[in-house]
Amino acid sequence: MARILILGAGLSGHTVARYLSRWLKGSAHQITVVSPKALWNWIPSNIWVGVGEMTKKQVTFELGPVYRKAGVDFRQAKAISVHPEGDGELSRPFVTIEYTDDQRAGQTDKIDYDYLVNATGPKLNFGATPGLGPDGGYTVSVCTPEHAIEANEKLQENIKALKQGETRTFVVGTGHGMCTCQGAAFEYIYNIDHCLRENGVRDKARIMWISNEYELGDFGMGGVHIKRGGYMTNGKVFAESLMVERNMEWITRAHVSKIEPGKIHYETLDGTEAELDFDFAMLIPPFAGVGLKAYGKDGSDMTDQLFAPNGMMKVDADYSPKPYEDWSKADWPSTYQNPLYKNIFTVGIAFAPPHPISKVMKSPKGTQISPTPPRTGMPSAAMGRAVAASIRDMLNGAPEPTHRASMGETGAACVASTGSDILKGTAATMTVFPVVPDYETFPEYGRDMDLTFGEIGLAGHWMKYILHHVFIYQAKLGPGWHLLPD
Amino acid sequence: MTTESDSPKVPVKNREPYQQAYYPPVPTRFTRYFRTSVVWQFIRFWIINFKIFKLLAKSHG
Repeated sequence: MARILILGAGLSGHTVARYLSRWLKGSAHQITVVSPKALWNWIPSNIWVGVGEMTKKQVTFELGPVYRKAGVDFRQAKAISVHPEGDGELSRPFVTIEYTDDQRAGQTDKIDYDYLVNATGPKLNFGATPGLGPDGGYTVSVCTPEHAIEANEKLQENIKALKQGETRTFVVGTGHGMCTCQGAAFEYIYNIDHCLRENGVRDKARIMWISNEYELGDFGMGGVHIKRGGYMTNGKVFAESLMVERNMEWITRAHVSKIEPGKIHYETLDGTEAELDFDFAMLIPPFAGVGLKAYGKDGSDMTDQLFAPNGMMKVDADYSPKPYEDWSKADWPSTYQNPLYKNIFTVGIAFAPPHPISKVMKSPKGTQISPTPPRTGMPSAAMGRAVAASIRDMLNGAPEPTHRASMGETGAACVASTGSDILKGTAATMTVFPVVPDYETFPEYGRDMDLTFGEIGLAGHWMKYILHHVFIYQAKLGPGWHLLPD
Repeated sequence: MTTESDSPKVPVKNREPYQQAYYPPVPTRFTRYFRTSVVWQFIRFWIINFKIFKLLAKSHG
């Protein structure tokens, strides 16, 4: 009997849990999931919560009953430290956890494991920018359902003021020079625009985009090329067109350095320092690791051996520093196995990427203003499924991981709602293959141009709405869930 | 009904040139119509689904 311990029940961790629970059903192996939150959240739909189109209940569900059905031991707790060699008391590897449920809040426990999957996701590092974020800051967020509810409340207050004849400035984008997840902000800005139009007050609002991208449409993937109108064109043209059509303005190559009430201070790549007034701002925070520590058998701190300085866990990637020209898809991890401890895997945002995908840029002051790589959505699910399959096979005797899901060999699809309406709504559907450009296989653009495309239309909105229900059904382990796409 | 000649003459000012919005393509009415044409979008829906299915198959392959 082996125990598989999964830290985190987000998209990637839950993918590992649901596949392993299916594949190991009836065996003596035990699966334990540790997550500090009782609810699973379909994060993409938080955007609709942030404009009042959906409620928290529509984008979340209780994990406990789902895991009970799947035979998974669920602990509502946060992981504190990893002890891959055990300690003086326990000779087996274990993780220290601290419970967060009402009954046991604050109590600690040790959970031993044979295989550990770190899927702890990101720490929303609002603290990296003074004044950023809803907790003690002056901007809102749509990263969690609670944040999105608060964002909608503030949005509705501003709509009320607009209806009374006032003018308002809405700013959406990234809150730091090294943020990722531009897609969420991109989607939110269009939903704000749509919401203001529905309320008949768009003419009184100024809507601004601010981000760390070199150009609009970079999305932390170094941009993307698509076929459009008889040309190979760039995602920049696609994204700028969307903004111009909706009378939005944009500031790119920007690092938000400080936020004061009603004022955003930012620095741009050319060294300019400027201010932007706002009435409502939703800025995505940078991500960091959740702060897990690692200790050796003798109690010595070995955190820096297992984790990169940003707190994300090292996996089978090539972390040697190299110039942009030498970056390759081969640098990217494929099995997500830790190089020191072969029974530890890391998936989703929790793994340390070897380098960004977008070229690193710095201002004259030395501030890095370029996005870090996205690892959410389809790539997270692909790596979760691959790691689950590898663990299944290793339990059956395979000496090493059997499945791979390198971001240099997998694609991503992103459907960004630009207005919710069953007949008049639209969405921007974008796909990219592979996520990390592969100039060896696709010398011209680094991507397969048959599988990389962008399109705007009602069809995308239908897909977005259907995917919301499909993914929640799948995550709830509804009958036949494994037949649905990840 | 007023005609153009009846309208008060407002001096037309040149717009400030080469602003952000000057460069990107703006969809025509034709393009915008097809973005929400139920028939055309129904066809596109299946085409996009097929493309994403191919992407998924290659990613998980």
